[in-house]
Amino acid sequence: MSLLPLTKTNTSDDEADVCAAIAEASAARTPVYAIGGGTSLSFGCLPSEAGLGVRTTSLAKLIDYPARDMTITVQAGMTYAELSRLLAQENQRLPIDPPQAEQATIGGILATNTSGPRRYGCGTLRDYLIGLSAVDGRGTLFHAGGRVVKNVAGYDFCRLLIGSLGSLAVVTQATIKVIPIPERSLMLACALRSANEMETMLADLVASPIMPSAVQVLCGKSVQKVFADRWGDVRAVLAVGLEGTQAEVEWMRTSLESRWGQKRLAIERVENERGEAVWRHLSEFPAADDPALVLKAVLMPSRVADFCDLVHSLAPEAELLADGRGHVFVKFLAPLDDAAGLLIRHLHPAAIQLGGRLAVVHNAEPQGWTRQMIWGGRTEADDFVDAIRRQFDPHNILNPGRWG
Amino acid sequence: MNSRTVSSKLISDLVAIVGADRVLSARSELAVYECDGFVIEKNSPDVAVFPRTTAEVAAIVHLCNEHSVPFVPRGAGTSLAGGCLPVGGGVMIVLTQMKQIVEINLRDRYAVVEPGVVNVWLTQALRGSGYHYAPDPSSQGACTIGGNVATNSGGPHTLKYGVTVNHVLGFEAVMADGRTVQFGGPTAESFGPDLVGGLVGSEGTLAIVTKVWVRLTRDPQGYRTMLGVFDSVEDATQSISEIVGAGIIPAALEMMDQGIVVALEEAFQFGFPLDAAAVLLIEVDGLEAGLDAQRDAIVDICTRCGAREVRQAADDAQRAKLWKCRKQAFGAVGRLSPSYCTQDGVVPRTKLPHILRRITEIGAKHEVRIVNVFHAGDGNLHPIVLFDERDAAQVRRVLAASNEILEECIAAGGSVTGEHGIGVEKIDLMKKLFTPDDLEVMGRFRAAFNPQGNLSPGKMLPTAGACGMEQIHPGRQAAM
Repeated sequence: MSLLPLTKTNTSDDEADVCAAIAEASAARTPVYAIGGGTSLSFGCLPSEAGLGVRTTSLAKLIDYPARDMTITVQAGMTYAELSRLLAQENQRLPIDPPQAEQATIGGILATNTSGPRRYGCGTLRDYLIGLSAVDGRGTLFHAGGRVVKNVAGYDFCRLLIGSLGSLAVVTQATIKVIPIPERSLMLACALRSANEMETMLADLVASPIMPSAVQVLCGKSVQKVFADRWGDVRAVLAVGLEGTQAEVEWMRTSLESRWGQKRLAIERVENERGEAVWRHLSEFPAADDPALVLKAVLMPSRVADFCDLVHSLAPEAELLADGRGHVFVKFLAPLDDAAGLLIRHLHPAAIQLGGRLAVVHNAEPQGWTRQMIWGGRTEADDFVDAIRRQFDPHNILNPGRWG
Repeated sequence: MNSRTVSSKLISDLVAIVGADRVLSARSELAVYECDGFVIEKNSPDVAVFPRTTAEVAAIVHLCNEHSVPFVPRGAGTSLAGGCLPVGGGVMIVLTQMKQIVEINLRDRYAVVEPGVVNVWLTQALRGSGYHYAPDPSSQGACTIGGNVATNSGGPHTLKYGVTVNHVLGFEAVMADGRTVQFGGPTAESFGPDLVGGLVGSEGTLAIVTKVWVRLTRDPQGYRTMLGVFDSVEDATQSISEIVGAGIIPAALEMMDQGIVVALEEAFQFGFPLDAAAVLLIEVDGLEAGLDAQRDAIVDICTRCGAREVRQAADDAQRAKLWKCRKQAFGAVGRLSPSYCTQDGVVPRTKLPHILRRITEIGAKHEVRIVNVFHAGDGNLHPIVLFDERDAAQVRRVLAASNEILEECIAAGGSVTGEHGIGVEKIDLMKKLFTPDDLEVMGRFRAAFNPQGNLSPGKMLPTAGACGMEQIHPGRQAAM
């Protein structure tokens, strides 16, 4: 929290308090920084203008959980872990798996569009959020969506606010559709020998009838932590999460083991306690080991292997977690100091060339980082983000400076 | 005053952009463009123009701005809430000539299509590839993907696969000021507010989509399609709740009541039981390995809930015929009455028994016949109110009954539209669903994209007004 220039922090346990605090701040033109679990405060540019912290962690009540309708309505300050515990009592889940789940709040996950390994098969929060309440930069409470799973009445602010980093509104409540916990979950992992092999394996999965819930490639030192005792000195590991009924998982396991067996790959079947540990390790990757710098790239899935290869050639010390859906997290444990600028100047255009974008999602030493370094170049679509911000937050008090 | 909002100069400028054969301005030629599937209100555009490229769309929009005339995009006009009704007249930009499938990329699981591509064309183009485009509205043989994006279309398979927004990665659009902008693209997501998600379903009021990146979905290995026959609506809805409660997410879970089954049987001779109170069309799909167990569980649940019988589609041909019946159900309604009005309410799934009872009571109260065919698994109702549009008294009763049904949906914690949109039809209901503040913020959102309000005026928001552009020629309404 020390990252933010806070003069004071309100901890509201009431939606009306949030409205009042923001209305007052708006009148005084004081910046407002919404804070959930505080796990992603260095995502994007670092705000510099002193202002009011609005902590939402006490705004954490369960509002309604009609389990048979497979929806749940909670206040935005509820943590993901707490939500998961509630859902598990009804054998249901929200398969988002953010890092630091005991701290990360629903509002924070929404604001940062955080997702986890299951994004490959289960999607991200935009596929589950069906309603919300939020307070705009004038202190006006507004609602969007509703509590039913299918609804096209009015503009879709649920999705609009996803990824908005608290710069359009402070989310106070969310209604989410949930899904059943599958009967069985296991993971198959194999060691990869080269970047070429990585793309071959990923493409092979896409072309196969197997429907994984997660497809992750871990590269770098952290491989050792999870898989060393199994295979010794391997550089990269592909881990594929298989979930469904007993019969479905069994079929997928057999089918995948046979596909991989033909390629003479060493395979580990990861299940039960070790399975949980590996899932957790993959979910925690972006936040684990107190990193100095974490970049996130979202690319065309077929270009992920090329991107990993490029990062490895520029910065061999980088740890990587890539994803069959096109996500790559690039993590540095030690500060890069002067090398950071050069690296980032290479990686932004590379990400664009590979069909995507890159951004800085965690930065322990953000001083001196420019907008360009953090977000890359502007696009024409950004003009409309600005136009929406002027409408939702006319005095530019919500998380000002986050976009640079 | 001239009887047109548009000048002959505008028409000649439009001709200069797209050619004379792509501009319609004679009254007789425009009749087909005066409404969509919502026929209660009609209004002709002053001119309809058929661009073939994004640059032409941009030039047309610039021109409309110069002439200060309203403009509205249109696909195939299959929408059901008046979303492409040209309120205030003006220029209708018909996108059906932009109909190329630009790219299919199976490795990265996306396709790029122009907005006029008919939904089923993409499915046909992908046949045999192992992939499909998941959203399959009942009108998929006619509706365009641009229109699907505008209305965030659903369909029978949304229960498992989601609606259009879950399958749109990005798009290129011509904005209200004539600029061409790309939102999202071939990657799964981008950074910043989710503008792709915010624009899908905006009913043509924020942007004119000229190219769409859609996600492709792996074909399931197999299907099990069942028909549960019930002697009471309660037993059928109880089965729905129990199936979902058992952790099974069917690909589709559709319900048809006796009225619609009779019409379908007459039209298709499928062998539907004419005396059943309700029929559930249930489909599970996915890996072969899991399907028999899911089918057995569903048969068991339906039987326990009192199903008279649960039939199973024997083969692909029978499955295809069942789905044909379901998707053409609205067409079959023509056998029951000269006109009908389809509603699109949503309730939490567990409130289905309550709302279906209320629909019967409301029909009786207003002396109108109502039949039901709907996406039961999503709680998305489509009560079809039967009437004769030539009878003014009946039309009034139909509107009153429709309104009352939708108010019941709101009271049950639901919504007034699950997939058809607000358009002009449901504008007044927005005030019942949202607070004045909610609507004011929605108005601000529109202003960020469409500050002059001349792109699709008079839609979605009760406060949207007509942006100072008055209707000059008379509109048409069904007998009221």
